Amino acid sequence: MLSKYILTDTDLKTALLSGFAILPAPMKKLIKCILNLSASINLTIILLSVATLIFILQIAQDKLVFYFPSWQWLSAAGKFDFYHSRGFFVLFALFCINLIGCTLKRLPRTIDVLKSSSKELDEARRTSLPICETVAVSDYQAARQTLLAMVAGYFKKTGIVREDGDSLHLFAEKGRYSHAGFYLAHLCLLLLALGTTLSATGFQYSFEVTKNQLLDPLVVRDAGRQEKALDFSLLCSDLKTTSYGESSKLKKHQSTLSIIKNGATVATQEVDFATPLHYNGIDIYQDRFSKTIPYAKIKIIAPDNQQSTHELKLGDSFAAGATGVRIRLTRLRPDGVQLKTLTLPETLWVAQNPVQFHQAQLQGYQVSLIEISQKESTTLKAIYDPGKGLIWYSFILMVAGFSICFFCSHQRMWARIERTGSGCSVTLAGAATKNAREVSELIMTIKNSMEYSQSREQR
Amino acid sequence: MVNTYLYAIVPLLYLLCTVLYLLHVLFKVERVGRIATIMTALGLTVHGAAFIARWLESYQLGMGHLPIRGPYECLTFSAMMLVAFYLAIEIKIRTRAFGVFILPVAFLLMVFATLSSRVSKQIVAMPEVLQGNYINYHLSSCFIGYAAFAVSCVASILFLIKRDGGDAHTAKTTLPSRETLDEISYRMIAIGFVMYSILIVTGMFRSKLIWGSYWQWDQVQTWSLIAWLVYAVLLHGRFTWKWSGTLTAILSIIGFLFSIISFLVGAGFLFASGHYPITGKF
Repeated sequence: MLSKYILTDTDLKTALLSGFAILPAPMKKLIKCILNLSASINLTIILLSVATLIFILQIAQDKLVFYFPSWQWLSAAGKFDFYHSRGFFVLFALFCINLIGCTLKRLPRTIDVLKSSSKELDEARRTSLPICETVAVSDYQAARQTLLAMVAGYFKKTGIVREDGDSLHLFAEKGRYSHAGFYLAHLCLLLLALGTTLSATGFQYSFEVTKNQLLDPLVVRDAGRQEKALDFSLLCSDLKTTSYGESSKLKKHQSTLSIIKNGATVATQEVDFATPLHYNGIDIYQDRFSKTIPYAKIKIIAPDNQQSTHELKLGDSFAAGATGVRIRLTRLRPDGVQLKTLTLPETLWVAQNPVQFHQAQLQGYQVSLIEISQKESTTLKAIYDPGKGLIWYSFILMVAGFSICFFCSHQRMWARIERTGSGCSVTLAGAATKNAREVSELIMTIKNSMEYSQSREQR
Repeated sequence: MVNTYLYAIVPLLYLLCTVLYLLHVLFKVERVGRIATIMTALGLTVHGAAFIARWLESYQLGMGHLPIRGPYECLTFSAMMLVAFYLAIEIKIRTRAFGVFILPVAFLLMVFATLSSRVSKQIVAMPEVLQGNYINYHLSSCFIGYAAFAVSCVASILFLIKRDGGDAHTAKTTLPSRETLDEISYRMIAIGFVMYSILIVTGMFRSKLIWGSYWQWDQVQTWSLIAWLVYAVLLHGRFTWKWSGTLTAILSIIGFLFSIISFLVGAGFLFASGHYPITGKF
């Protein structure tokens, strides 16, 4: 029933060709030219060579100008940041198009090889194969046995295609799926590029946290540098530093972190530089060293007598009541701290006695310092990387693809034994995508073995 | 420290092997060749034992890392890989003449590592970024790749030196045929290329963790990418246009030069870089 709705290869080809046929001749020529160029290995090699040269000129221009003073023009070129230019984007896009083009161009040929309709060694195939040997023997059965034994020994199966009383056709192959290596490697290179692009939509945000501090909620900056509150809180319950043996050389900084969601602890883990706490697609790592830093506790009293306290380290800021004005801690001394509003460049030294800003928006607000305390603090980083999984799996498959490409070969062998008058003729032929020498050696071994048996019989 | 005694023996063994291979090539005495092979296998065994001893001793000192960090460990590990590749080639293609050119390289690497005042032999504590198994994959693939490219480079130089119509590898005491040298060069590039791909991608993951992005256009990253691109050109040409011979030999030598630059940058000898994975400074 459904078959009439399914477009076959032939239908698709016909539809594409008829669509192509109505185009004007110059357009057809242009499309053909673009398609051929995009799938051209010449373009691949040109792109790879151009990229290599540009990278060398970008990275080594200082040294090149130093050793070859006549290359002074490179100094000007060196100021141009190619890696973040449109030129780089064009080169990269061309590379991706070329990768897709080459892969698609090769597909029909691979399908042809895999679907190879004729497994019998006819004359047309025999002449097209790179390795071909013929041997004349008198004993059909002996030749048959030798051939089957040696082919089964190498290919692990005899592969008889057709046999009647007067002839035998044999086809054996191994490494049939080695063609997949090419597609795997190229596809994974594209996926790697896609993964790194996806990764750019994520974020990496470093933040400081003190021992026993609860960040409720955890606020990060996303890819657009906008503040974003995550849907969980983070508690840092312990900070630890490990040394190498009894020496004072630092080995590891670790923090014990807990994720708290809706009042319940959903995950707890000790994190370090390479061991993150995973939660909801976000990885939290130990970033920099733990240290003890001074914190100032500030009290602010609004005109309506509402009080709030803020614990700040150098550089931290807070909003003053409902005014929306943010105040930053800019200096810290044992006897007082300096505060600065972010809207106007007004600074104010604050000690234990309440003081006021002169800004109109802050009229009536009183600020005072409660205490300065030392706290153990560390830097953590939250990473959201949507491309990580794709990069990781593409990498594994790419290595597998390269390995199949370089170390596996599709080896095929055809053989035909035919009775001819008093004896019989054996034709052996083979082909291999790589390491053709092995197939050639197998064919020569079979041939020599048959000739040796023949000569022994004659003696 | 047992490892330093064992590592001190290795260069002597490699020097002896070099002399034996040379005598074998010059005087074509099969027995000398066989002794050279046995001595090379012995040298590699002692080298492997030294490597394992250093690994175990690093645990005894409370540092516990695979000894492929720092210039000393990098150089000795590269020399070990070089000799391992050579032995595999000798067994596979049954030619000993190649040893005359590979063993001296391994010997010089070992001499530089053990005698140079610039290279500390002490087992040192590693910073956090150089700890863990992940960095083991990164650095081991790096030095296996360098060793494979070095063998390929030597095969390519010999290919260019050897003239057509010379004695083929039927005579075990002379250089392998040009065809065999080309094949050795290709196979070593294939191994090196896979290793370099692992090196670059594992480096990308580390870069993301340290610097916040997968690619930084850092000197080490860029030089490694350049070497990878040169080998990619070579492999594409070889697969598609059936490039072989002089062109691939020249490209193989160029590719190795770039990978050496990447090594020297990583070791802190050339250019300023954000990371020195070999010296451990970040």
